[in-house]
Amino acid sequence: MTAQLNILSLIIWTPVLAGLMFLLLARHVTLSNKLRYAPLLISLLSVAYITFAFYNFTLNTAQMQLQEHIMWMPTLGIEYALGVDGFAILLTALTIFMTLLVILAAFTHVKREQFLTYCASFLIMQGLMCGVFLATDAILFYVFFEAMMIPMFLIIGIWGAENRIYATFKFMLYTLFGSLFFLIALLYLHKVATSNGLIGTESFAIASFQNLTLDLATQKWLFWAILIAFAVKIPMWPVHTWLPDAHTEAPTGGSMILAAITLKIGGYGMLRFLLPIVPAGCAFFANTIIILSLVAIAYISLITLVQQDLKKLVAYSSIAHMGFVTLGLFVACKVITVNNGPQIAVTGIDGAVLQMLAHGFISGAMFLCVGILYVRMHTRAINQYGGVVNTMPLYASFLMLFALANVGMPGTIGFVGEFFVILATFKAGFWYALIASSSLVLGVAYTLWMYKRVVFGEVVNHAVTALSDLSINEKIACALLAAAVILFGVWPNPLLNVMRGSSQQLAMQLSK
Amino acid sequence: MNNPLLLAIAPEMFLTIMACVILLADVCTKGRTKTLAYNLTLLTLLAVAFITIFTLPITSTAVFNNSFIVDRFACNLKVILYVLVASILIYSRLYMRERDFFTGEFFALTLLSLLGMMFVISSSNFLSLYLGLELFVLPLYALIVMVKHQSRYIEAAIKYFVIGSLGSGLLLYGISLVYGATGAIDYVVVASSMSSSPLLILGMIFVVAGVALEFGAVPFHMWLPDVYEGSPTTVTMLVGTLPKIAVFALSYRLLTLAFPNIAPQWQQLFMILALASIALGNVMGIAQTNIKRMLAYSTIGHIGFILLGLFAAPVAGFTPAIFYTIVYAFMVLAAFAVIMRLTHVGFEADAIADFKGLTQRDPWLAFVMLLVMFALSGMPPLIGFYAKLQILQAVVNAGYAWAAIVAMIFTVIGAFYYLRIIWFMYFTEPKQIEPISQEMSFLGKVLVSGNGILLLLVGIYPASLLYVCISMLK
Repeated sequence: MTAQLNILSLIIWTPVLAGLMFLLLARHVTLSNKLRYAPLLISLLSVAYITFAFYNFTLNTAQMQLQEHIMWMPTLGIEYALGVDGFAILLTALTIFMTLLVILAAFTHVKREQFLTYCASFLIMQGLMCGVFLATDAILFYVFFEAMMIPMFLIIGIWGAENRIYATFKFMLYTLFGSLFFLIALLYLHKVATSNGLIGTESFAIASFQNLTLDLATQKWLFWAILIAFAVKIPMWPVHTWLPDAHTEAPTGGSMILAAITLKIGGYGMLRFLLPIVPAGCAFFANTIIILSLVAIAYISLITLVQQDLKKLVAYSSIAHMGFVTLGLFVACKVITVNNGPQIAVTGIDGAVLQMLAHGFISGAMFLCVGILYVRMHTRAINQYGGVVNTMPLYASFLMLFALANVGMPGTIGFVGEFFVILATFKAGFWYALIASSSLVLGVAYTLWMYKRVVFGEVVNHAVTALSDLSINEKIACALLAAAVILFGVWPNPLLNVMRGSSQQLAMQLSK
Repeated sequence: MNNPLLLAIAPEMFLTIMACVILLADVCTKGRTKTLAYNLTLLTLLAVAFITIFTLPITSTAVFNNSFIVDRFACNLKVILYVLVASILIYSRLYMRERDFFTGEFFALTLLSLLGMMFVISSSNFLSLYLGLELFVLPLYALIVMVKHQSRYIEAAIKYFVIGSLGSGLLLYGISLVYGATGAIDYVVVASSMSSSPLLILGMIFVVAGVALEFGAVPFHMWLPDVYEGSPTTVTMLVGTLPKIAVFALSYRLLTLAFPNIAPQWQQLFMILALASIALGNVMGIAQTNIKRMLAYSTIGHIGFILLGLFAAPVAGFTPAIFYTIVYAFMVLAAFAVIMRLTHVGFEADAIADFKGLTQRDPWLAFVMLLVMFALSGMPPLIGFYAKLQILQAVVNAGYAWAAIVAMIFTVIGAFYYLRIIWFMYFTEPKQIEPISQEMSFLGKVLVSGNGILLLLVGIYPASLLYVCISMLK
């Protein structure tokens, strides 16, 4: 068939256009009531698209697949170019899956008259975030990377809690500040690419940036310019301070998407830009970043212990978990030169990506569970709860599963990523691995202590006695998440198979 | 009409005649049919656009002893000026009528100012440049005080007049020094003298200072916020958009035709002016409570980017700067149009707090303002981003990555005050809940939406505007 189906463009633009249309229609009350199931339909359509993309995806290759190229700004060498590899397709699938859950949860969590606007914003978000993962042109990546901030800024600002304006401005300005150096780095790489004789649309393609040979001095400053953008996004200690505010003040769906997807964009950016473009710079600074990651893991875990606010607790634990992602990636950079290095590097990279996916599912699930309580009790303070198990047994069992996954219990997806990363870290240094493993202990402490205080114990608050258990839409959402957490926990092979080609290629680029 | 001289200035001649006709028509009808002058002005703009496009010679032509150039660059910028003037008049039709300056003189003065700008755009000789510049600023001073007995308008007009005269003085002094060094007032002859004597450079510095003053670049920016705040919104729109395009064209002609041999010297000046403007414009805007003043500081920041584009032009070409200038004019036009949409008699809607809860009063208008604010702050996928992108790319290619980083840092700082408007519109409750008054014609309302949507659509396909800009320089 010559008339190809541009599946990647469909993945990006269907939800964006549908979302814009819903925003226009949301003013008409009767019409917006009739359209109540339309966002869900669009979300399911996206699931169908990504299934189709998986069906056409070839394993064991790092080549960009399902590529699309359209002239966009030919005089500047900028192209509308899309493609997927093993990393991108998994994260795109995660994005679509999480948005589906957000919309499912919104049926009972959002007021009826705001439902359509709320879902529309998340559909637009979904499209733009998929754009980030699918773009193979650097400027197109940057456009999506920045454009997705617009709906997020509005989502937190409009539907957030009391302190939302402070939180959303902090989030926005932090991220904008991070990405400005990244843009200059891209323009500089473009300059180098053109002086190396690359012309036309090649001059802004991410792949051609990866093939440039840069001297170490250049790589060093490019490393920091690129790192800052993604370090803020992921976020790494000490530029993490926007995250607890943004996650706490955002509405349930906002927290889910922030934790599950936008943090992953930071990790994805490192996979796509930082490691392959400036491998020598990464190796040079690997120790620094490893230490920063360990601080995030150990120190932030300690901070998590003392949180009194449910959402803050989950938010801080996110930072600690994302520490494993940066740890895995930079351990790969560090060990690449030792004997058997590429093999260990692949383990580190695989671990980092698995940890990203795992954290996507688990943090999404945790924020969903917090949201389920919040919508019933309108408080996030842990001491307001206690004895929830008496009135919400089903909820308590789901939360138990997600809490165990959060602490990295074997058999759940939370275990696989951390295990791979720690395995690779042992090769980089025993003490590194020891500190990293401390999170397994601290994680158990803060998660299960929270669980104990919320779910078990005396009922101190009369509101708890009036709680109703999960509604049907919440049941579906929790069940889907539970299935993913357990399925990929005992059988992570499908994920590893999809990303294998890409991680091997990345390890090769690191060793060049 | 086969005389090439007459053909070259046919648009200017037509506009002069029509300005007089409109003045006479208003006097003859004694202002009884008030819309006559208005309609006549719009028709004039339409006609002059056709004349400009159809009398454009195939190759660039210089007439009147090489003092007046007609080329694609001039043609496109002139047509953009007509579009801007026509939009401003359509936006402010009811605004002007309610405030009693819907008169023939207003339209005639606007057209005369436009005429001056057209001369500036086409001039390639210091004499025609100076005459054009005076012709375009003098009517603007008068336009500010068209609303009678308002002390703040008079204050703004006097400030603008005094500072504008200073600018003319600087320019004239610079021109005299350049004449002293080269013995010529013709750009091409100045360039062909191949001189880089200190006298010529001193002259160039004064000329650049005059240009910077008309632009409103730091440190010559003091008049800008006062004039923006102290003028009726119609005139703020005129002052905020048209002169920037004219002065940009002036700089383009000067730098490419008169001073190409001393590029390193003027590049340094532009770099300082640019970075100082970007820094001050983006920082000072944060402290404003009046949206017109805020947009004035935003203008200063944007002017900084245009100057940065001019700085990099010897290496990267003038396309980024042209692109930025055009985009800037339409972004600011849309911003002021939204402000004007909110006004009614006795209420100028110029406090930032007037935007509180706008989305509950008029969601569509709030959405348009959202687009405008994101465009001004340079967020993709709106057009403002691509304008900044090209300037930054030019600066990085010129080898000044650090300057690009400085510019971007201040842009992020400045993003705060654009986002604050969005905060007020979307995240707060309105002060009053009655719907927006209807002080804008239907056509104006359609145009506001169109203007805002255009910022998004051209942002999604920026190549369209890019081709226009590139074709201008061929």
